Amino acid sequence: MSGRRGSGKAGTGLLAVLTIVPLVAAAAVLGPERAWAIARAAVGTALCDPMAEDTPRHRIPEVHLAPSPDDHRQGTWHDGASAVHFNQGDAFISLERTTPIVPVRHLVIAHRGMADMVQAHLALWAAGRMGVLTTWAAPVWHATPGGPGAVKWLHEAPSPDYLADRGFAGASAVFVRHANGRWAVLSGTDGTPALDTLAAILADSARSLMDRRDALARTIDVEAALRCAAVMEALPPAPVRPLWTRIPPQDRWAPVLDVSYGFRDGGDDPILAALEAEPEWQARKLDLMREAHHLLVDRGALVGELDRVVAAMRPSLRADRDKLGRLAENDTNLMRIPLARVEDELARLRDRLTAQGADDHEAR
Amino acid sequence: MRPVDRNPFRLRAVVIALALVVGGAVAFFTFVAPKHLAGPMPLGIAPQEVKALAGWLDRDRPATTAPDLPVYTLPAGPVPVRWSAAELHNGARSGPVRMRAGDGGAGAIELTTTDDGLLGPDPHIVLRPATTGDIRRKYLQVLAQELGLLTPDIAFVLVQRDGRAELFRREPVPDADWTARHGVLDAVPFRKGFDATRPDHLRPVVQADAGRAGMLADRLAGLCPGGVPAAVAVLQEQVDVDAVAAWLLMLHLEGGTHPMARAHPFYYREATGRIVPVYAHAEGPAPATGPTACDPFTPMLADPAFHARLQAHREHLLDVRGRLRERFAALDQALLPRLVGDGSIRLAQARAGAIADTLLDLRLGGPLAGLALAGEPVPPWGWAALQGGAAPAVAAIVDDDGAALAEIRRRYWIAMHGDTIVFRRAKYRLDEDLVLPAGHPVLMLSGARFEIGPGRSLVCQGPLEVRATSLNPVFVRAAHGAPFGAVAVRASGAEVRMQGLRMSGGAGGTVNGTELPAMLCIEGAARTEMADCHLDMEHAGDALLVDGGRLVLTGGRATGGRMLLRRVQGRVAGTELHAAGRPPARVGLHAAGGRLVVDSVRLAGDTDVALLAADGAQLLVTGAAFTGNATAVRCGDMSAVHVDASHFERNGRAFHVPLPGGEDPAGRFVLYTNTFIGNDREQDAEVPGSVERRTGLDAAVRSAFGVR
Repeated sequence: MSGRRGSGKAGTGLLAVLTIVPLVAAAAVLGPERAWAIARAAVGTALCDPMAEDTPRHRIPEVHLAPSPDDHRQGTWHDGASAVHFNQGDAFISLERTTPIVPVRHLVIAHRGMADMVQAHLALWAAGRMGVLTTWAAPVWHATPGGPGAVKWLHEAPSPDYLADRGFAGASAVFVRHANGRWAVLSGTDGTPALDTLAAILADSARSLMDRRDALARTIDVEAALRCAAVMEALPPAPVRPLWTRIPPQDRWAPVLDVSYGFRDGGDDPILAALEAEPEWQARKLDLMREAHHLLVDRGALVGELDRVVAAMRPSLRADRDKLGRLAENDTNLMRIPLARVEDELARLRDRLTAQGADDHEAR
Repeated sequence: MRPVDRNPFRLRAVVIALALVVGGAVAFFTFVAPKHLAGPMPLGIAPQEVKALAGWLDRDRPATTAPDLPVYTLPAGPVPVRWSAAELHNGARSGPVRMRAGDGGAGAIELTTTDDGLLGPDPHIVLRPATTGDIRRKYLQVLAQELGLLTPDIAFVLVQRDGRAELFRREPVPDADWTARHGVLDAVPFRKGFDATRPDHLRPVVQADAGRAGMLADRLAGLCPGGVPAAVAVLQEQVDVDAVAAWLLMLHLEGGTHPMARAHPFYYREATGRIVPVYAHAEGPAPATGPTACDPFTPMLADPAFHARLQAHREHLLDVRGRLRERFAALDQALLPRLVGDGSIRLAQARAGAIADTLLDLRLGGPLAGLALAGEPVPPWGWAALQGGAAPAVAAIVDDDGAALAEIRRRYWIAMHGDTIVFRRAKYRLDEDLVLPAGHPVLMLSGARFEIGPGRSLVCQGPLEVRATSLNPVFVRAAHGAPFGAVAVRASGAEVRMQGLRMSGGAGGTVNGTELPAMLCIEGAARTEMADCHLDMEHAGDALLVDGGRLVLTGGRATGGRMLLRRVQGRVAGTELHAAGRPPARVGLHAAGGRLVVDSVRLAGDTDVALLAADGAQLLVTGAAFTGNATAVRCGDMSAVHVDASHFERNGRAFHVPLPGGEDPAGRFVLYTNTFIGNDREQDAEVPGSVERRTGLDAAVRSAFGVR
């Protein structure tokens, strides 16, 4: 018996040595920070993310960038259907041409929280369905050579090519937005005189009501703007903002709904506010809000789209080793959260949309 | 405790089990008919496993001869993603090409060259790695061609790079050159998809022609106003119905989900003004099937007549199914040995047979259920902003600024040659007033066809030339049966030349407060020449107004409406004026002021007055024929009409001089040698001495009218 107990102790000691010594050696080789990061990720993966999957069959586009060996700011963009040259600027990636997967040329790839991505997608989807122009956006699986892939948010950056990418060959888009009490030109410069005219109309309080109304109708695509206002008000809050551009051939200002991370404190849009000050246009906006409810909420289209996009993202999300569920509050650092919590957020979002439809139905 | 049974590892059992499995597989792949390997396999056996086993056991490979294929030798290294110059060797030839990575999956190469014949018949092609499944594309190409559709011709080439030769599928890009090579010279190719969520499907993509893209976008938007399809009758006016029926049948045969969601090639025929689809197989990964936008094609499926056409196409394919099978077999024999390579030819043949059976039996012979779109079409995303940006109801463009002209070029299919606005052979539909910028010459070429909406007008504010012939005229017609306004030239000092114009359906109108009193108005032109022009009035109104300047009107005809020539000098020769119309014209030719030679003109019908001279007009009528009018010639205040060598038959009265309305002197006739047959009265001169008879034209009169 004592001999067996002694051999057992020796075995345990040997096992401990075999376990601890490599760990210490690895920590020494890697350095304490990397060793700690690896250990933390391993524990987090094991404990928090039991739903993780290794090799999913992605149902969202898979993209990866292969930078040129000579210049990392340019290279080849692969999206499964095409290989296209790209240039990476400070603000966004510019593709040389559109592809069957990515129909626009100027893009931003961003880490976003799952719930934020889904909310933004729903807002753009609903706005588009109501006839409002939007920037293009889609969740993608961003594969990084030599590293883990991740679900990211691929969205169009407002650029002068916005109209050209929509079939207006030769047209250059000017994007302006109003934030914190002033107008800012986001892209293009040709529209500056037109922006001055628009700003002057909005600021001119000496005009008669009829004159102001006529001036606004000549300068702004009122119907498109009211539709944008209706969508923003009718649907649950989403991180979107209206940008303004001039649509040919009449070159009137029309809204383009864009994802607005970091711009939530911009205040009310003065164009929309000016339009809603007109009783007739306000009534039209209310009509459009009812139409939006009818089309999107009552018929369950919005919840259906939520289910569709979440189902498309879920396999990729489960393979996302970074688990970037969402942005931490009041912090620019990304925070890892378990997939279970992501699923919980999505479920609550779905409940909210469903309840909104039911409430509206009862109220009517 | 119950002792645990001993269950020793039995090697013999394992070996026997393995032998049974392997033996069964060998027996199965040895004796099974190849066609049974073509479909999905049970027990989770993957297609590549079947392929490997079938290839390994394909011992008695039938003797096949792989056809000789063109060999394209390309530079070594990866295919550049941007257009890059390269040297391509094709057999004995070599020449410069530009190449880049193409769309539709990894390995695709897009090539274009200016060296005729270097890349075969098409100078712009895409090469994609060939697979055994390409035989299906070839089958579908055969079916599309049988239905008379234009479709890119699939061929196979060997591409030699980096010391390796790989088989590629070669397809031309359906651009304008491609359609021209297929005999459609007036085609404008474009691509359009109907995925509502894709911004690049909002408007048609026309290569290097923004104006045409805008025009086509307006036309397509007009077919689906607000995302709702227009009436089938309207749709059928704008598309080639027969080709669309064949094309939808091809999409059904091809299969796949939401076929309308991907971008398809089309072309617009300028001569007919119709949109024609091109059949091209889907490439690359299937698009995300978002909501489908309204398209102008599938709503026609609800029309019984259209459905009958589709059924006719289908029955035609069923009738020639035997011949198609023979062609498929010939394709198998020619292509499969190349496509298979070292793989199992029997398995490939079996799969090709299964594909042919699916196409010709299951899909062609089965129900046409797949043709219906899934769900209700929705408007494309962003449609409200684009509709709001559409042109106003009246294009009140009077200033000659670049923006106005650009807008006109964008909306209407107008080319520019220098500063000349050129309407080429095409169909132009004007649903709003079109006022062309002042000062720009306008040229209408033979084959141009204008369809003008009710009450709408076309106004040129510069010189106008209609360059056409009687065999190949320029047409101006009413779009919907209701009368349009006018075609007008309002330009001081401009020259107007018209030949081969065929105009009907107008009644005069108003543009921006300016009255255009006749179907064809020419005001202020320094010189007007019209030859072989037919102006047919279908509604009450004047056919022609020429106000001022010199006029040479030769041949042609006008029916049912008055030709009003105000203060013009010149000649009308060989023209026929008929009163027949709805209602008949009260006056045939009305000369108000000016000096005019009316030579060999035939004025016939039930007019009140066939020729009216008024307001001091001076006319020399010679060689004319007046038949069946209430009054042949009336000479009003201050006017003078010389009539020589003319023929008057069955008129109420040949000449009439009314009493002057005020203090102006009455009109005056000078009659020379004429013939009169069956007229009620020869003359009715209410003013004594207003008709003078002479024996022959004297030199002074000839000189005054410029005749010899």
